[in-house]
Amino acid sequence: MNSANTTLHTVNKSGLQSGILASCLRIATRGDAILLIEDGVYAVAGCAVGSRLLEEKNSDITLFALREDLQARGLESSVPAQVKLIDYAEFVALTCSHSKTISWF
Amino acid sequence: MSNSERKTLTFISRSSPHSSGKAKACLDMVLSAAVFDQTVNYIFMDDGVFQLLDKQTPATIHARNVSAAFPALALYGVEMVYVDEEALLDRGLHSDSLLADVEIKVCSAQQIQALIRQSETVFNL
Amino acid sequence: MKFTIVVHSAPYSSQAATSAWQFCNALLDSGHEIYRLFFYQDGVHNTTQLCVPPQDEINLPLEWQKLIKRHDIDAISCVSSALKRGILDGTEADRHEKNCHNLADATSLSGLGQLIEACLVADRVINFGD
Repeated sequence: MNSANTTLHTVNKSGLQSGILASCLRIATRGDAILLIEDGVYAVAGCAVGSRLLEEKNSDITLFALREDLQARGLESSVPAQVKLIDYAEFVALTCSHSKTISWF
Repeated sequence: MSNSERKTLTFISRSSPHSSGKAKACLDMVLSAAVFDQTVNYIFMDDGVFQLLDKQTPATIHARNVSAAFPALALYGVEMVYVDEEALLDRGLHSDSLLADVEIKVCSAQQIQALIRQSETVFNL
Repeated sequence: MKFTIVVHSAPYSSQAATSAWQFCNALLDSGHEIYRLFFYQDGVHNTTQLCVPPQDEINLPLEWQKLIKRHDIDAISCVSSALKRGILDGTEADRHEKNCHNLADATSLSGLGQLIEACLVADRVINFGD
């Protein structure tokens, strides 16, 4: 994976009760990745607001969701195909393959 | 210090000044990084721009005045702070209504992205 | 790679501290290293040794201590965050004339300079908060 100055963004809210998903999408640039963790995973599992926000930018940014958080919330089967499900070990790998991580909380 | 290399640390302050400790926590990190003689970008986004309002008197709610420290940032080598233009617009604020004794540069998303690109580490709270 | 991990939130109030702990376990299992674990703001509540959760809940402060000891991690609770939230070591308890202290023994109190220094040394800095 290309590590040449790319950023991994983690987002832990759904986009319904907090504007952080919108703020993250405003700052994320082409080649960055967004990893949805904790309540962030609701954004790709039926949340219209989150899904709409993400669709506006999804051609430029790779979208991941943390499997453990989806499973905990009963949502593992509700995730659209363009979202890559990863576990904690792969989360660690993503932080290594991107030059920095910005946590949105 | 085991590493003398100068790095760029960016601090995005996105929280209003008094309802949580995040504004103060971010300021404290900024000052520490500046004391370590690192390059510091201090960016205000979202409700963080409310920290820059003039005439705050948080003593009425027994809170610390975080903004009181901003004029001293220049003494620490943080010559200016960056403010997201969209955050101001969304809140009906104009740079004229912000603290006068702080050098404020109003930025587009692209300018903030460029600051982040130059940074080794970004704190965001 | 060398990681610095920053925990901004208390256990039980949000998921963030648990996420941080799971991430730390995963990175160590992957063969990486934690240069420093820094508890900031409400995160200092992870470093009390007096936490007594119900038996069917994770004792996160205890799990942090086990992890810190097993891997000999440099773990720091931010001194100003800790003191104002009532997390004290023996030295601070004496200094402020308190009759007890509660900082977990594998953790030390120190200032934000330790966080900034850790940012300069580590290859990656990862924050967990709420």
